[in-house]
Amino acid sequence: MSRRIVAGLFVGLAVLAGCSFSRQIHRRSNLMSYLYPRAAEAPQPSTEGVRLRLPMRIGIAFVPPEATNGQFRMMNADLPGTVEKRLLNVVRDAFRSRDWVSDIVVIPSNYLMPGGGFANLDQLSRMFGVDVIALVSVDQFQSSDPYPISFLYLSIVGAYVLPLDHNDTRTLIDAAVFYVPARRFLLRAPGQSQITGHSTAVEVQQSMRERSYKGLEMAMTDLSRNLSKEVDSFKKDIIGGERNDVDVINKQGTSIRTSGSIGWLWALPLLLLAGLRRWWP
Amino acid sequence: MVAVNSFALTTAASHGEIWRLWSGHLVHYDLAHALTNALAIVIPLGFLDRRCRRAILLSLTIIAPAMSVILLAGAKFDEYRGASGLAMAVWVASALMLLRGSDRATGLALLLLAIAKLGAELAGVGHVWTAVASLPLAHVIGAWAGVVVYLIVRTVSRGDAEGAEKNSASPREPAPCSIEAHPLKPRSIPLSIEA
Repeated sequence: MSRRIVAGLFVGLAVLAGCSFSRQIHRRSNLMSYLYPRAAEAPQPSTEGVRLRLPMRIGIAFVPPEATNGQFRMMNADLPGTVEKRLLNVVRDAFRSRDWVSDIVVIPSNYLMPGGGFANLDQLSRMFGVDVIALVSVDQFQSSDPYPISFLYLSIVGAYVLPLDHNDTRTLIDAAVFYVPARRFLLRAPGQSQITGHSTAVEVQQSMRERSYKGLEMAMTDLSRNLSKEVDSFKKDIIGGERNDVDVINKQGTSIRTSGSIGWLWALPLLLLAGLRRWWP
Repeated sequence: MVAVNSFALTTAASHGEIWRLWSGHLVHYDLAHALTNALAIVIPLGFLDRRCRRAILLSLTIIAPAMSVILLAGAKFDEYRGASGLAMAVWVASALMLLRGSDRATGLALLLLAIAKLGAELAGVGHVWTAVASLPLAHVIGAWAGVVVYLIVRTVSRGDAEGAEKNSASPREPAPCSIEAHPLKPRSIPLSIEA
């Protein structure tokens, strides 16, 4: 009889211990599957050069999430409207003061159809009056693992007060900027963040949701910094003639392909002259 | 971190952000851009003596914003970054000073190089061997600014020399850059061997 009681206790413990388990959540939206749902039928970019007129009105939107993912449990990848707007405003605020930007329009992601491609982007371009659209795709992985001493959750009270779940949130965001009328890719920039923390068993879901939003916000801030650098580099490439397919027309109606540069062709003869004067005075 | 864009020369300079009149000449797009412009300033200055160098650099603090104002009025650009306009001013001023001194060969070589560069740019072939296309107007203004700098320095040095001659009782103060007085040769270390 006593053996049965002991065996029953072990079984009960094992069942209760099962309350504490690892969780993995993957939030992912893929730019390629949105823009080119059928890879073989991907539209070719226009051969005509792109002429961007300053100041620009730019649209920004999250790429709609992928429908399925077999490996991990999927959190609903659709962000609440308020969160989505707050995140996109991080980028908008970072670029609002730039004199080449007239306005940055936040496009709600429910206007973007999964696999909509450039046809969908054309609609958005006309609807919001923007030629340039930045598409933000997200790849966020969250995991929550209980520590070995999480058997203390068995005390029930422990599940409420002991933070014995270690969770990790890694976020990678990518913004790709397109000139929609010519279906031309202009530039891209990444943003990333990592958050680690602890939570009690009953707060795991809420904690992971909050850290998901926090991780996205941090990654968006990082993205704004990187995007600013990429824009400078893009402008330099245009001025330097490395991006001959793109020209930027300023407010006065002329190209920005100008700057102050001496160049190696003239700096080297100067060096040569200095050398000659040094060795043959 | 303050963005470099806050320092580039743009029309914002005429709307209160006046520091751009100076800083636009100091910010660059990349290291090669900054390096080539720096070489074009340092090398011609290296041919001059210390007082001439100082006189030119002091003049540039006034010449730089004046050049920016002319550029903003005369060129239609979105933003301007680079010290090449100043470099051209230094280049031409140094060449003229060397021509007035005893090192005329170097002065002539510098002047011919400057003329060749301006000619190439005005002919539309200024994009060779440079990652950043140049604004020819900036260099034309820079060349004229170089002539102005030369005239300022010459006038000041003459005035100082005459003042010192009149007041011969007092010990003579060195002129800021006495062009005729200095041979403008590279500094040589005098050897004095005492037996």
